[in-house]
Amino acid sequence: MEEIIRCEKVKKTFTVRDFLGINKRVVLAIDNVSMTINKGVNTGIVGESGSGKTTLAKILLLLVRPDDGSVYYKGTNITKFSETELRFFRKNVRIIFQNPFKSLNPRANVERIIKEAMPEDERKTKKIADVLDAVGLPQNYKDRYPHQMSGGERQRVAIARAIAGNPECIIADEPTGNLDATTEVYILNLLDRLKKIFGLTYVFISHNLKIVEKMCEKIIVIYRGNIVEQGLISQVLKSPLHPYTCLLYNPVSIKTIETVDKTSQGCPFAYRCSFAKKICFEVKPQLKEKEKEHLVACFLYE
Amino acid sequence: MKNFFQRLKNHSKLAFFSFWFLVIFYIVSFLADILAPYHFDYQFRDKPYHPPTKIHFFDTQGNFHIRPFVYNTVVDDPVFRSYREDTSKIYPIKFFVDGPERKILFFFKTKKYLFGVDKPAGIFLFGTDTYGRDIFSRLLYGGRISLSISIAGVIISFTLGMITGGIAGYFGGIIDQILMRLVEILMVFPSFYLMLSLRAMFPLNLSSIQVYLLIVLILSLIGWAGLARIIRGMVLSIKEEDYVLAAKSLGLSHWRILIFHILPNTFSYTITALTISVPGYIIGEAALSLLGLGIQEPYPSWGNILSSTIGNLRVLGDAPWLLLAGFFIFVVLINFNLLGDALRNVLDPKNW
Repeated sequence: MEEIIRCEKVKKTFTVRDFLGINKRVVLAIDNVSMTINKGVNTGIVGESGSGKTTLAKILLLLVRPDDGSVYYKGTNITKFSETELRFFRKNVRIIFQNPFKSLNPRANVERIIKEAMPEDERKTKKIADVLDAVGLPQNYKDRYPHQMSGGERQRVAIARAIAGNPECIIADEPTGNLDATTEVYILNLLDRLKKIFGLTYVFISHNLKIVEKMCEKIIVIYRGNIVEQGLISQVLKSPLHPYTCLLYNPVSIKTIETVDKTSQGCPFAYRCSFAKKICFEVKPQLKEKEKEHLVACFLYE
Repeated sequence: MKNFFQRLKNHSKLAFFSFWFLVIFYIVSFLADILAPYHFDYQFRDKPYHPPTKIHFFDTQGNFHIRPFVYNTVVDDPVFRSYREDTSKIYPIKFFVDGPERKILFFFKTKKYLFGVDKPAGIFLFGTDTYGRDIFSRLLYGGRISLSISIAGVIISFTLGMITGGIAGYFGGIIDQILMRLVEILMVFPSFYLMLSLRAMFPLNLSSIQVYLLIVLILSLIGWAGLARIIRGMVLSIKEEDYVLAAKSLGLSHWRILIFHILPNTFSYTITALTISVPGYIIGEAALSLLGLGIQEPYPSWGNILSSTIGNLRVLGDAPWLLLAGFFIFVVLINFNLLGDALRNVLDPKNW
């Protein structure tokens, strides 16, 4: 299977300072994450808010440079590449942001937004009309400004922008997070259709397992910057192994301790886990293969 | 463009009026060579501090003249400089009269002026100054200098401010530090004294065109610092927006992101600041000219027309028409402020 993006042991910390800059608090956003995105395998990244999903997406795109570890694009280490050197990568891997109300420049009309997203050599030949057609927007929308459109329409413009460069992979960061239920279905169907037309590979970031189930073949569950479980959709959702995955899949069925703002030396989930043992607080579990391609980081399965 | 006028009109009738008022003001002052009845340094030696000329339609016998006319005036009382009309002869106002050749904006030659009267009578719509020069003509010529200095100064200082502030805010780090310290050095000086000392660096006996360019340069050099500082702050916050990140994810160059995605989003502030700072330049020029460091006599500017009244209290009572330059500055200032406020809203796509 051809790999598109691979990251190895990436790490990202953010430093939060108080007003005078005396007290520092280091937030570990991404902790030693390694993952691979293969061509044709749509990958879903799930986790609750603040688990580092968006940061991981930005690292995969090198919009945020990791503190440690490397990102590979088709086998080439591009972690230290300059923006100019990254241009070929930017053309092939695009992102759709969560909030269409923020991700479009308020001073640019649709025509300019899409035109800008096309590679320079294709700007003359490729038509904006085709792109608008592909995302199902009427032709007269090319003169509109973002504030003149609804959320769903804006998100379609954002999708049009992403596909305008003929990418092979699109990272969708909760593309339906800000939309109502019917628009959500429309956008998901649109993404599904575009996948077939353009042969795209999606990385789908969501907190909604139902959407990931519909759109993806592979799933990665992250908690506080750590991958806790990964595997094929069929495996993970049929028999979730990690207690956190179970919690995400059916939040009401399992009794857990409410969110604790403490991190242990060991498993990051230990304080919330109802199955936690002594070892969970002391040693960090490693990702281990349980079944074929189904990996989990939990002492319950060792 | 048509859209722009329509939107401006819909947004505010007052601002629409201000816009055209300013356009007309600029056109009129740039056509001073045709519109002014006298050249700015032409002196009526026998008519200093002459009040505005009365324009008549009826002569002393009560006959109506279709063509308005003026009387020649003679000095009645040489001490108080009061004038008496000599009603023995009428001087009709002539349109498109011939006179000495002038160059419109240094290019096209003209011998025809819009209006005038035969000598020895004079037509002084706004009176004359100490040397018997027509104030109306001088205001038109002076407007050409004052208004163009302000526009040129604003354009230069805003370009400087946008570029410096944009680069400092966008690239950050050491570039930001260097540029902002530079700006602060410029800002710690009180601007008026900085203006004076900058002017003092150059010799006084410069040609008028050199002085003109020097004033533009000085005024714009002072104006850009504060703007750069504010633009930097705005860029700092805008560059964290999602659409800038989106532009980055498309692989656009830094310059493209800065010029097309970040700086346009500072326009809501800059356009207002720009129009509101235009009067500042007119006043700055006036202040320099007032102190004799700006445009030198006999060349007129609104500043030095006004300065001829300072230190001469009698003028205020006897020849108040000399203060008309101040009134013109005031009118232009008000109109720019009105326009600036409306422009911000009109040029924001959110209001389209």
